[in-house]
Parts: sequence; structure tokens; C-alpha cells
Amino acid sequence: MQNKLNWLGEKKNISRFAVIFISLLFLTLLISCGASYTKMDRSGFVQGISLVPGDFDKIWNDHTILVAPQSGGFGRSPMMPGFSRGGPQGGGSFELIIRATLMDSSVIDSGLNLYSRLASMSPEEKNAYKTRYNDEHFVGKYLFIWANVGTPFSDEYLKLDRWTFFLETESGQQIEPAKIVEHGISRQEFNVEEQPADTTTTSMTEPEPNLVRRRFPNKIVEFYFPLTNFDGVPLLSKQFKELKFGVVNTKKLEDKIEGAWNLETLRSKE
Amino acid sequence: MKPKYFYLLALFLPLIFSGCKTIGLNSSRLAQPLEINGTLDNWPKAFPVFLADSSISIQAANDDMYLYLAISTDDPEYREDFRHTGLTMWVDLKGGKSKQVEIHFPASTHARFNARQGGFWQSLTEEEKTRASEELDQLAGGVLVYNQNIKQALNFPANDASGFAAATSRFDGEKIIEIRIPLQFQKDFLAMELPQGQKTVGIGIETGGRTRGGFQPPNSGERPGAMRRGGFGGRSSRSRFIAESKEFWLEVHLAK
Repeated sequence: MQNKLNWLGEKKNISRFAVIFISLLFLTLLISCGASYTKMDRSGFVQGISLVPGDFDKIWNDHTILVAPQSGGFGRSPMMPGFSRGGPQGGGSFELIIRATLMDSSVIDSGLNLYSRLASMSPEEKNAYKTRYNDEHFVGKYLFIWANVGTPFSDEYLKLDRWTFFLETESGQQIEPAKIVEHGISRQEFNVEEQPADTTTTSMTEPEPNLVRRRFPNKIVEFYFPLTNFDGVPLLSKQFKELKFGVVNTKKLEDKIEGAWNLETLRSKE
Repeated sequence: MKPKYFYLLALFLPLIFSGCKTIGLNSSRLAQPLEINGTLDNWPKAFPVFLADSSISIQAANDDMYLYLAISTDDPEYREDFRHTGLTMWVDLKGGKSKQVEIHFPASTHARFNARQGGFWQSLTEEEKTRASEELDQLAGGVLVYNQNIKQALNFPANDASGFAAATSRFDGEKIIEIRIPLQFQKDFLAMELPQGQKTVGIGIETGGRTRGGFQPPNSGERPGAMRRGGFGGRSSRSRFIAESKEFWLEVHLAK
């Protein structure tokens, strides 16, 4: 051991352990600061960014509601043994999940502007496009709801005659659509956990679920509702704070899901 | 201190300094701007640096306006990695390791757009659909620049003339990604400027970290027409594992 003066002029013992400690400290630093790279989970992952310029995607998302069972899930799918998390959830009692978009003037104007910009339209082309869109979607004549209707079950559940769709005002008036335009069925991918089907081996622990991608049927449905309630009051007037969109099973009326647009919030964003 | 402890410390010191060092990369001076086409045809002779056990090589060139990087790999694992997740990198014009400016190429690996929603696409004429499709392809194959501080992104189409640009090619088993980074740039919320007298630029590159099931668009409805151009683009549902990601940092010495 050596006796030396420290910076306060006090005597201090410097042991060989101090030297070893400092060496180990440097070694730790060496390891922690890494050579030329550090390992990590993918940090740069950015979610929810729109590929297109402007605010169309934001306005679209603001006007889109999820209409799904309260429990956030479906009944157990006969098509999906072991089907649980990673997309549609298990444990509910309704067979549909719907993303419904209230196509008010702000969504439509924003969409028309975006697509006319993407297609580099001349002013004449833009006018013609706007007229065409308004005619095809009865703008000004009906209240237009764009809905993506999906199910984790079979295509049968996408037959619209199984269901009654309606809007509901705060006073409880339920209004059915005047027109419905159905698009074809497509398949939407979700991540789904599935238990391995191997039963030939025994284990003390549950087998690890596999995350697989499953394709579920869905279809686009355009709903066109009357612009006013039974009293002639516009459904989007300031008289209403919210507007509900609901679905009931036509053969089992207690089976119902609904969601609501907060009209005040949407107005405040315009 | 006894001599043997001194030697012990002396032994560790070079290791310490070599371990903490960011990889240095000397940039070559360009006489004229490079055309971003994913090839190295017009690149000056330069000494690349090697990363990831020599699986990836990087070289740099610059003029007063831009820094150009060429990232090459013939390693099938890294080729696959870039194909699935694209390229993620960070640019720090102050020469450090700031992640404020994050770059993704191609943009389609991190930005989404469902052109089917709302019925807007269907109301276009066939000619308008072709034009819009071409524009969307340019956006999908472009460079997405994300400002981490304010959580906003700017997308530079593949044919952008003056901002960020990137292109990729694959020739004889080698994948090349060519990137153009402006040394001075101001648009909307994104302002970048090489400080006066700054001679180095910090570049971080991330590899690996593949996500489960590839990328899941928020809305699955596919826009009619191709949306997977611009290099990697593909979103295979076969990539169902998470690989560990690695971060490499370079200190690029600009040529004057």
C-alpha cells in the first residue's frame, strides 16, 4: 500500500484493488459503448405515416369509427381454431367488425383535392371529376357512409340481409339507409396466434403459439341515409352532438353493435 | 503504482479507444452532381469502409450541395433484410449521433396509403388512374424523411430533383443503394444546414429488426395497380420473425 496526498491534502490509501477496479470500469465502458454498433429492437419504426402529401389521411381517420363488439372481439371462429389475439379479438359475441367513415363535405373536398393533385388534373378535368364523384355518390342528396365490413368467419356473414344497419340520433330515432351499394368481397390480412396442432407429443408446458397471417373476408359497403331525421332536422346540424351507427342481427335483435361520431369534435376540426 | 498495474491499464487503453470509435469514412470530391440511378457508374474512385463483418460496404462522395452514399452488399441475408424492411438511417449534419432526422427508403416500407377508400379512385377516368398510379409509384419509391422531434414526415418522390433521393439496383448478386442527402435544406418543418466549418457528418444505419409478418397497412384495400416499385417494396407474408437489429454509425469526412 502507498500513502499519497489527495487533492484536499489528505492522506489516502491507494490499493491494488483500486487499480483493478479502474481497469474493470474501463472494460465495462468498453463493452457498453460498443465497437461500431449497438444492438436493439428496431427503433426507427414509424407507424401511421401517410404516403401522400396533405391532410387527407388525417381527416379520413378523424371521420372513421370502429363499430365492434364492446368486448373488442368476436365469437370463437369455427374457421380459426385457437384464434385469439393479433387482430380481431376472441371472446365477444358478434360476427362483424366495421370501420365506418362519415363522408361529410370536409372528407369529400379533401379527397377530391388529393386525387386531382395525384392525377395532375387540369381545372377542367378537376371540375369534371368532382361532378362525376358527386353524381356517383349522391352528394347533397343523401348522407354518405363508407364502411369496410369484415368478419373472421365465413363469407356468409357478409351477406347484408342478415343485418340491419341504421343511424341513431341523440333522441333515439333510428334511421335506415335509403340506398346501399355493395362492393365485392376481398380478403384482409391480420396477425393471428394459433396453437400448434401437433398432438403426438406430450409436454408439461403449453406449446408456444405461432403468429401467422390469416386472411379474413371483408367488403366495402356504401350506405346512403336520408339527410334529415323524421322531424326534418339535418342529421349533421349543430342540434346534434353525436351520431350513432349501429348494426343488429335481423334474426336476433339483441345482437347489436354500435359506434358514434362525435360531431362537435369533427366540427371543431373543420 | 506497481509497474504491472500500469501495464494492465496500458493494455486496456487502446481497446477502450478503439471500441468507442465511430467508423470514419472519407468522402470523395465530386466535380459534378451524381445522377441517382442505383449504379456506381459515375462514382469517383473511392475507398469504402466495411460493416457487419465485411458484409456491407459503404462509400461516400460530396459536392457543396449534397452528400452521396453508396451502400453495397452481396450477402444474401442483408439483401433480404433490405428487401423486407428497406433502409433506415439517420443524418446528423453536426457530425454526432443525433437521431432527429430519420430516413426510410423506399418510403413504402413505412408510409401507407389506401387509394381505394372513399370511392375517389373509382371516379377517376382510366387516363387519370394511370397518371395517379404513376405519381403514387413515385411516392412509394421515394425517400421518407421523418423528424423525430416533431413526429412529422416529409416524402420525397423518387423523381425529386433537389431534395433527398435514393435508388437501388441489383447486379450480379450485389445490391446497391445510392442515396443523396442535401447538406442544406428547408421545406415545411424540415430545416437542415451544415454548420459553418463543419467537416464531418454523422450517419447512422440500421439493419435487421425485421417485423412480424412484414408490414401491415392500416387499411388492407389495395390500390389497383402496382405499388411495390422502387426497389425493395415487397411485403411478403412469409417474413414472420423478428431479427435483432444493429446500428452502425459513420463519421463521414467531407471533401473540400
